[in-house]
Amino acid sequence: MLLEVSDLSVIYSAGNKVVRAVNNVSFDLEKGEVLGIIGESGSGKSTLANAIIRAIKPPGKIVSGRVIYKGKDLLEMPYDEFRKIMWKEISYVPQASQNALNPVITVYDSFKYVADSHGFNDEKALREKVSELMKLVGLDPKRVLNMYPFQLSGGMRQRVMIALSMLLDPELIIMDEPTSALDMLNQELILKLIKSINKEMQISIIYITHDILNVAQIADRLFVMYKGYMMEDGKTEDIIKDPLNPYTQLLISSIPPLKGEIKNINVKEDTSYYVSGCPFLSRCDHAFERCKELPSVFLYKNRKVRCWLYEPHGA
Amino acid sequence: MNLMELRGVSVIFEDRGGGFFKRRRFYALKNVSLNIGEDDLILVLGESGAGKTTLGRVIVGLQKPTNGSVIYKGYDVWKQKRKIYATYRREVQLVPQDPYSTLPYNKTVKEILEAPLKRWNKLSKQELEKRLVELLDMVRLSPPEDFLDKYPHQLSGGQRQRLNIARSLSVDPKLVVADEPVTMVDASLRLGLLNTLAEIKNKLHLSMVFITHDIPTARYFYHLVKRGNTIVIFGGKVVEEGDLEELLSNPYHPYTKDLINITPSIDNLYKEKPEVKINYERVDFGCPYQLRCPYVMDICKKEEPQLIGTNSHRVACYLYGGQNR
Ligand SMILES: Nc1ncnc2c1ncn2[C@@H]1O[C@H](COP(=O)(O)OP(=O)(O)OP(=O)(O)O)[C@@H](O)[C@H]1O
Ligand SMILES: Nc1ncnc2c1ncn2[C@@H]1O[C@H](COP(=O)(O)OP(=O)(O)OP(=O)(O)O)[C@@H](O)[C@H]1O
Ligand code: SF4
Ligand SMILES: [Mg+2]
Ligand SMILES: [Mg+2]
Repeated sequence: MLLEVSDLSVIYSAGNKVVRAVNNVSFDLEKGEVLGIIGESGSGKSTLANAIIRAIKPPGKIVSGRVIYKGKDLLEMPYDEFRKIMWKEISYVPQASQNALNPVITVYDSFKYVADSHGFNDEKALREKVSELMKLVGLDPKRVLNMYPFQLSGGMRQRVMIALSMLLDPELIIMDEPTSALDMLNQELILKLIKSINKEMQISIIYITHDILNVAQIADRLFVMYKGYMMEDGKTEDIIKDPLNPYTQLLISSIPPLKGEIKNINVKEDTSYYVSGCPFLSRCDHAFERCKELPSVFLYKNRKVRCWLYEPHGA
Repeated sequence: MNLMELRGVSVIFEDRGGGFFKRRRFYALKNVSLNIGEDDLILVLGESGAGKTTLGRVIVGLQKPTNGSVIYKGYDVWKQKRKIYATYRREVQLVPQDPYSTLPYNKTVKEILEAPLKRWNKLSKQELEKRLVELLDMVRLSPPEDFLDKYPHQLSGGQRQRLNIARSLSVDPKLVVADEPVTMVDASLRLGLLNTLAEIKNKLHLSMVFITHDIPTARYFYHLVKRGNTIVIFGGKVVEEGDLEELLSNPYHPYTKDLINITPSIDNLYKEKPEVKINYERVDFGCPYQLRCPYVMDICKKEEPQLIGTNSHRVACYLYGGQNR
């Protein structure tokens, strides 16, 4: 087991208001596995990623859980030790909106900064490596390396970050919406790239997105989140073909088709704050009395699913 | 009459080549012409870096074209500034690409919506309140009273994007450019947002430029509005233009074909996809697609193909003629 997350919970507290962003989340990641984490905006995906790499800042706080990487708890180890692992063994592609690139230095200098801080000082080798990586993500190194972040389009910035995450040949890359601002051809390119680094170098990947079609093309396993809760966890193909949780079902049925007739689809939206019960209750067509209580996680058809519909009878 | 016209618009950036690289002129847009009529829907398709956002910024006046002109209601907005600029900047609004970084973190919904209203109109306190409620109702943030005092981070992604739309509508625009309005929200919220946007467009007879890289999204929106002229941009140039369904069922340009073939859909997810060459180098002469095109011919490397065809479907590619113009 490469990574083992158990019972992880994160809250943000502002004044007397508390946002429970991640609730008792557990999952395992094998070496060489691609895990897709999917959920709508605000479901806690980025918070979960940030918690794993110790990047939760106030008013956020990890309130429970462990993150075991190669047998050691990342959350417990001294920060100095963790810093050596970060980028070198575990790297991270932040969500585009987080403006991860330093706006006042060139793209090349961002690479140099990460390289320097891990003792990679050979300037010539670095230039070569960086140019190579830029080509891999479909960017023209001659043009882009000398540019400042504001001169790049949204998708170009994402691709720069993906290249940066590969700079020090890590073992695990956590990618937060790496392709959601990209067009299909670029998505295809990046997906192929991720697949190849995953297969050839056995790099494990946590791939976060709100786009189920996108992630389905790459992930071995899907982890569906809603309002900070795990809703379903299982093999990608199983989930796509036969989603169990009503939220997963909704996700899959709201994709407009490429060909054929288009129907008006009205999707129920969330109208109220979540307080208790099933997090999906207010939008669920199958809700019944039991759903006023938070569903437990049930094992069903080789999958984990949080929904009362799958409660074993007679239990 | 056309509400807006772009005539031969180019946007050129000088790349600053640090150290050993020379300065080079980079065409983010090259010779783009576009007519936008009242109540029109224009769909803009194209890959990352194609120039879609740049086009949107030119339309709303955030980017001045290097060459060519932007005509609004018959006036050149950069040359006849005194006559039209104020009206133009108010009547043409943008829903920006990134809903996160564009909403201020420390302001409430009320404050965010009030700012543009106060900037352009003199309203009494009651009128202002009424307008705010109207706006929130229109984008279906209801009941409005529940939302006025919230901060952006207290809203879901879909709600945040609704707020962005309300903000762009607050000053009664005639033309709205929506730059990838649903790209960052998940499929289950996407449709609701598109439904609302189309409902508003249809009700107010707004002209709209809808930028997206996602064909199914474009198609769904087209269906809601019941029409939509589409331009496909590649390397800063319009390579194909026409009604969306016509263009999808009968694509001409090799790039448009590639784009359609590669788009995933729920029923072809595990099918082997056709191999598509990717190459981001830009060319100085000839067709912008020549480095990736499977049909490339000699002439494609020499001269730029021009847009030819009928009014309802045009293409810039030598496979369809175009050299004799
Ligand atoms: N710094 C913060 N302060 C207060 N609340 C926050 C903060 N960051 C995130 N939140 C809240 O935590 C919840 C989870 O947010 P998070 O960014 O993890 O979601 P996400 O799934 O990554 O969404 P997206 O798809 O929009 O990126 C949301 O309700 C959000 O409003
Ligand atoms: N200020 C600038 N200086 C230099 N180049 C720029 C500047 N702004 C944009 N560009 C370039 O213009 C091209 C088009 O960018 P634009 O943002 O319009 O693309 P886009 O089609 O919106 O892409 P995306 O889908 O990734 O958002 C890119 O190559 C970008 O680097
Ligand atoms: S003009 Fe030539 S290179 Fe360009 S798309 Fe047509 S055939 Fe291909
Ligand atoms: Mg996020
Ligand atoms: Mg853009």
